Amino acid sequence: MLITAILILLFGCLLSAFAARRPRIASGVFLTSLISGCLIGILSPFIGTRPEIVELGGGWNIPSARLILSLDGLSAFFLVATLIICLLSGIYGETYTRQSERLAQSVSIRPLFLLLTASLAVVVCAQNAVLFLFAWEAMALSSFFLVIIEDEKKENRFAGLLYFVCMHISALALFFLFSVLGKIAGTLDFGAIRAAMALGDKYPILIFSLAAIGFGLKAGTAPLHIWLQEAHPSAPSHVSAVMSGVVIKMGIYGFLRLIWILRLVPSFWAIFFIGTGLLSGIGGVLLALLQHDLKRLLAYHSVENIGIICLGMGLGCLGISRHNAALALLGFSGALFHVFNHSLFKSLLFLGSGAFYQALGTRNIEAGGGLLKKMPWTSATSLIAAAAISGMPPLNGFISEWLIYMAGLKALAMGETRLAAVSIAGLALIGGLALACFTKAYGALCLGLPRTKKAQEARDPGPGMIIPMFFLAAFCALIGLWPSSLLSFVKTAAMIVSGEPLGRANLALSGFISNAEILGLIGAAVLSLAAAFSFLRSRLISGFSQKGATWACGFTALGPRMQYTASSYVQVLMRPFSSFMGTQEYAHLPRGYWPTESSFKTNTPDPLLDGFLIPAVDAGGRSLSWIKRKRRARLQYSLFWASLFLLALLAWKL
Amino acid sequence: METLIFIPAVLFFLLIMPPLMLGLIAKTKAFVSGRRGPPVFQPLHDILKLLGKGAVYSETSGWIFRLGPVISLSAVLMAASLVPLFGAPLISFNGDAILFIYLLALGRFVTILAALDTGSSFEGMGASREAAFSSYAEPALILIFASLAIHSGSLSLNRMFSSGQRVFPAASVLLAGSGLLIVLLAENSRIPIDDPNTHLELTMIHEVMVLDHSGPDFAFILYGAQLKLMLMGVLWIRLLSPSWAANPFFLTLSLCGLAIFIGAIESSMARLRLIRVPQLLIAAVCLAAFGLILAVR
Repeated sequence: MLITAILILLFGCLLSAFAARRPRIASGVFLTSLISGCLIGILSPFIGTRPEIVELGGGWNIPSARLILSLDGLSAFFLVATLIICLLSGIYGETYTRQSERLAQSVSIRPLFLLLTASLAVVVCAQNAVLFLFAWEAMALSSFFLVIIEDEKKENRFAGLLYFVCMHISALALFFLFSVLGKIAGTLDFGAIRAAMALGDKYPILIFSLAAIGFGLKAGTAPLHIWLQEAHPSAPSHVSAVMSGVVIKMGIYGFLRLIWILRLVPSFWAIFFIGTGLLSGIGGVLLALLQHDLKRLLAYHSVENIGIICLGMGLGCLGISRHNAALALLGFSGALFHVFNHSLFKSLLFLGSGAFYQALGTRNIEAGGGLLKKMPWTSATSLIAAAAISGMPPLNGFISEWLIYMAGLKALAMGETRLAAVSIAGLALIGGLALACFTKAYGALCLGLPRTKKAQEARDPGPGMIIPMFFLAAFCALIGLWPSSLLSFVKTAAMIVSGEPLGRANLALSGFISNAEILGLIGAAVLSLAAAFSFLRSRLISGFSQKGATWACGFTALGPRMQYTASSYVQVLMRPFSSFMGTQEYAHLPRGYWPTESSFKTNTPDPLLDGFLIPAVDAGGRSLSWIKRKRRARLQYSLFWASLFLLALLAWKL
Repeated sequence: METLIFIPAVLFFLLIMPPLMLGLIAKTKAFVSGRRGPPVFQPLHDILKLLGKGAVYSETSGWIFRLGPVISLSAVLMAASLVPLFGAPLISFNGDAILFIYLLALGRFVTILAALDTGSSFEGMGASREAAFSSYAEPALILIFASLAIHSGSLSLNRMFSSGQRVFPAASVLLAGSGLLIVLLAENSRIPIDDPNTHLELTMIHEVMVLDHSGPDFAFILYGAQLKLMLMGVLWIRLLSPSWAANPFFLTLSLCGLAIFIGAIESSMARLRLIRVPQLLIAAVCLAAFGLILAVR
């Protein structure tokens, strides 16, 4: 089943590449192979007798490489999350591509999307390190080409280059990581390495730091998030949805698979995850608060949510290192649940941002306003996503944050006070700030009066874009109201990661699963009470309802430019943090008795990338410029140095 | 016999007590400033009057504006079902304390969106302040709950705030109690964080967010806010003396006492400058954190 799905996707990739010059055929091939491949892939963990491991015949002439795929609970969990997002984003992307003049000309967008989907499926199912790295590289390259698909813009080329470099540093670290593991175990099959790891771990610090670089760069854990806020805005919206919803989760998958391989992780893993989780979570949301570019804002929120996931993983690792099965299961369940949730609501937000972008012609949220009335469907689905990502109760984001809180409490009760207390307080701070950020973005875009002409004329996109968004919103609500539908799935995956048997997992989690049910019921009760109140209200005011202007303390000519802007909305909140956020203000204030034009603008670059890395790299480049001058001199010199180097190597080997 | 008293008592606490507390606060303030003040049941009367009125909706606003009041009131009511009044709460399970905090956050989320939906800069201003200050108040509340949860071994409000086998250090109660009092004042827009009675919309936080609501919508909002004040008041009283709160009569007395206490605070000091408010709330976070450290030691 799984193999069929992957083959359909790859075949569709080839076929749509050949048919690229004929958009209608390419589009037909794209949709057929995407829908059939993804649906078969999504169903494959559930139907038929499920073989744990599929090995493809035929040789692969690379030492210790084997084509093995498996579908254990962890792989199945990530596979389903991945394919749901790829399927819905792909369907959306088809309409999005056709509506965009620039993207419609692109011949590579469809094959690359299918290749990305197929490589993601292989990454989560691969059971051999070589196959894993092969798929990892295919994923990195196909997403790189998707990021630079609109390569006529300078910032897109820069973002693509940055992404390319980061992904290859990540891949390099992973090459080393699996070489080390292979050296210890004598094989590159994950199952066999895991078996060898039972004998006790060697090189724990080396393995940890390689994984932290390799998987951390992919996941975008601060301070390795530098590529995220550049690459997400550059890619077309449905690709950003997949990248933010799924591709960065591959870093999380890598961490979890590695924990599974290692069986036991030292306690510094927990400290690392909680530390980086707090840094990513709080740093991500603070930077998001200062952004005006919708997709950049969402990219920083991905950093924030990766932080929340890391907090859950940190508590899980704490459970493993302290041999507390209940804490390990609870922490990993929270992290995995949040992985699934975040892939749903974040891709929904990115799809919504694409619709807003096509309507407004800019990603600046200050250019919107009043879209709730102009684009009702996009606004309604985005509202569900915004509420879910802020962790509001009847929706899915709350359930996973609740699980992580419960894990924090468990750790607190165990006596792991410091780590648990900072995770709990950090999570609460992140929650409050995320609420502020999403009310800001949603308020500026969808509420109030339209601020620009484009916003006044905005219309909802066609059903090809609305229906996928509707499905994602429905999943968010469904999981929030009926959490146990996903929790049993999460439990299986958490069991695999923590290496606990089913019986113990049932014992440890059953109480939380039934409590999560109550959370869903209370959420439903809130909604039904609200329905009852609005019925009551309609009875009370029947006939006595009037329309009027917004009350502005007696002032009657309220215009769209007098509304609170997104920058002013966050000003109170950000004042205490202003000293270290590096926000640049460009103020041209009104002067004199008859002030003429005035303006105020803020811009917040990434403190790490723009504030440190780029200047540092520039300075490094300048200081090495004398080498450049030397090198440019003559070809003979280059050949001379190269041969000298080779001779030196030869001498060293002899 | 027990249920015969129980149901009217719960109804009394849910329906009469919240407006009564607000009336008492106003009465206290009037007394201190040498006025007679409105009757203590004036807030209740206001709500009933508003329920009978029609409503004016701004042309700018859409369905979110109508959604705000009903969702926020439902969220506060469901939060009320988790709080132990004088007996056990309606619903209680491990982890309901987190739900309590997030239900209040849900109410805030929809109220903020409804405020922004009017397109008025006053309401935007209020929404901005509410979002800013609550993101400090939330960690403080969570830390207070965490320190209580360590002792009761459960994150359920009923067990955290009940009298059973408490070995809670007095200093810890003091720290958590003062932190909770600051959070209570902040969340319910009382002086020194917010002044609901000023004449200037520019200086208010919560009141300015709901400027455009009228009629039954405004009644829902007022009642929701009063209920929230009472719920947090019950938690505060239960934190200081759980056994005292187990009796409905004593609980009524202490809630009235709390209202008079809040009135006294409001009479004795001015509202802080907005720049100073985060500092006070960060102080609450610190108090809660110290309480947690003490609870663990």
